[in-house]
Amino acid sequence: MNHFLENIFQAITAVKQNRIRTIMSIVGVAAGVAAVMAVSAVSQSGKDYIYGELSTYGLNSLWVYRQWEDESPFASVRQGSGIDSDDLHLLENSACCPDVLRVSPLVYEQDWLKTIRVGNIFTKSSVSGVGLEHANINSDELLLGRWFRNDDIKRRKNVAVIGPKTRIELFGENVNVIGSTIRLGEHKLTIIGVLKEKNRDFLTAIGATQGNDENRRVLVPYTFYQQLMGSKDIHTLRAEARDQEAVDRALNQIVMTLNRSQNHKYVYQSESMKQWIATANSILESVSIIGIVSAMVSLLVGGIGIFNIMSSSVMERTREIGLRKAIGASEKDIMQQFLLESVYISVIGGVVGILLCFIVFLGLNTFWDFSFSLPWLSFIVPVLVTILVGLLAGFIPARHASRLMPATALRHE
Amino acid sequence: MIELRGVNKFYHLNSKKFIALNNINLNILQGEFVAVTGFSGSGKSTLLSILGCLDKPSEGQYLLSGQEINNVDDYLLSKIRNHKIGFVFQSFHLIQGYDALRNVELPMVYAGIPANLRKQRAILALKAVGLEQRMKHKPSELSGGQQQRVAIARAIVNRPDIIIADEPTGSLDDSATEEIMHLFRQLHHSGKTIIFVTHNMALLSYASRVIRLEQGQIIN
Repeated sequence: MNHFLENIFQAITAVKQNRIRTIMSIVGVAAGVAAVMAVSAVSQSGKDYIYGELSTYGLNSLWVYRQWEDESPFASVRQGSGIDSDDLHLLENSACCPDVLRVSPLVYEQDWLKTIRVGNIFTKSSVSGVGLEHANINSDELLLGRWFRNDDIKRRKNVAVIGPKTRIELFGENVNVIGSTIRLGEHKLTIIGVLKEKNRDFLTAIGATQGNDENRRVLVPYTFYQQLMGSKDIHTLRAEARDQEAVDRALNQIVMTLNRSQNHKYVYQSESMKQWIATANSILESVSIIGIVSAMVSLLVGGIGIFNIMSSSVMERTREIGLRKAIGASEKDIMQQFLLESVYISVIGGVVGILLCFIVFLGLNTFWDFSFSLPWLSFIVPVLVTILVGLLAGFIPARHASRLMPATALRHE
Repeated sequence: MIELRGVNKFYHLNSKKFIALNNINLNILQGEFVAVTGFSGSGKSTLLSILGCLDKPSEGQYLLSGQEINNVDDYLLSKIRNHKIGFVFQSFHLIQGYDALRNVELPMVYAGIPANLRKQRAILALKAVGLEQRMKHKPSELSGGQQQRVAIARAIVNRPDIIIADEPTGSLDDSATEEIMHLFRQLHHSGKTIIFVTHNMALLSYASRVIRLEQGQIIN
């Protein structure tokens, strides 16, 4: 312990004596550590942000719909969406799908963007018919009014839940629209609810929402919309699995049930939020890999800097090493002294890098409307990495120093 | 106490063999005050390095207090240097970033002595060389004579039996030389074995025995 403290004291003294060179190496390591942290923060914040948007669809949710360009030889003669109200009742009521928590139909036209009118004010909104469970599956929350009731569905009522932008465009802000009427073509719809705003900036930016603005929606009971279209077709089944693990099983159970009920006439396609999350993860991983490679290069440069410092330090202090050995230092003591010095420089670099990153992110969070989060691992890992860099960079010079014969070292010019 | 039997020391320089010490046989008893002298390149410093366990003989035997030194490993050798021998060098070899007190404490650090005891002993050692007022001074703030006195304090602080000094007054003026030699004499009176190398014939009178070296051999 005595030696250890002495070696720490010595490391601090030596670093003070070689300020410029030490600072250069510290900058190298700090850049590397800052890069490692930036990568993990961007990756983590990006994950949080994208998950936040994906969760507006419901993280365990899934979609099943007919594959229109299927390979079935009957494809050309099969009409309809391949899913109808009977299938929905089957899925809702039988024990066919133990991994499905809830299911809801989605009925829409191919051109789902419709003109909605109030008096002589017009706006475009996507119109779809939905079921009772849709809000739960799609993580929709209400700002005003209420969601559809069983009665609305059964009696095919002409009521609507509208998106916040649709509301503002037709009525302006701060107007209580519950009970007001909007027009969809010939049909009058009474507003019973307004949805809360959903943020999908990122998904919209990458085109994942296919031009469908979640805040510009008009939802009606699916039974009402089916009546309007004159068919029992359901275009997409939205469902929620019990949990993430159950998503694939739930998909299989729904598709098997549909196949049985439709006598294998159609081929179904399915999507799940799990797949989208996997895609998002793989994109983030690619970004992380690029970042980690550049961070490694910075750390390597910092490490070479420390190696250089330690090598010249051993050269310059050869006589000191001789003296220390003459008065009782063993090879182990000298080795420990130089390794600690190297680790000390490296860890200072690491701490500077962490602080730098922390300050920059604090600034970004304050002045920019984006929340960066630093996972706690991004503090621990850089410190461990810098200790490792210090040990690796210092090992060869330290071993060289420890093996010097004291008589030779003392004579060194 | 110290016994060399047929000791040779060779160096290889550019594939040429250079003989630094040639068949040295030497006995030094405890409490002796020995001066080693000779021309440059006669092997004085090499002899001192071997006696101080800073180097090993190429051939022959070195017995220190009856213990064979040739086959001792690095760790044990460092302990022998730490406990049994104190070194004083011509160029002082003080660590520049440390004050006098810390320089004197250093051998005790390697001896594993606790910090508070270290400090007490270092202050006593600095008192013994008359430098208690300067213990917070860095080497650059001390004169040559004062630096050498710090080095002597460092050499005696672990209470070794032997003090080995390589041209201890080589860099000092006459009055500082006298002070330092006076200190060595005091140490000798306290029972230490002193072995010092010098060019200065005037200093030989301090020694109870003079060993002259020429071309790696003892000539008297």
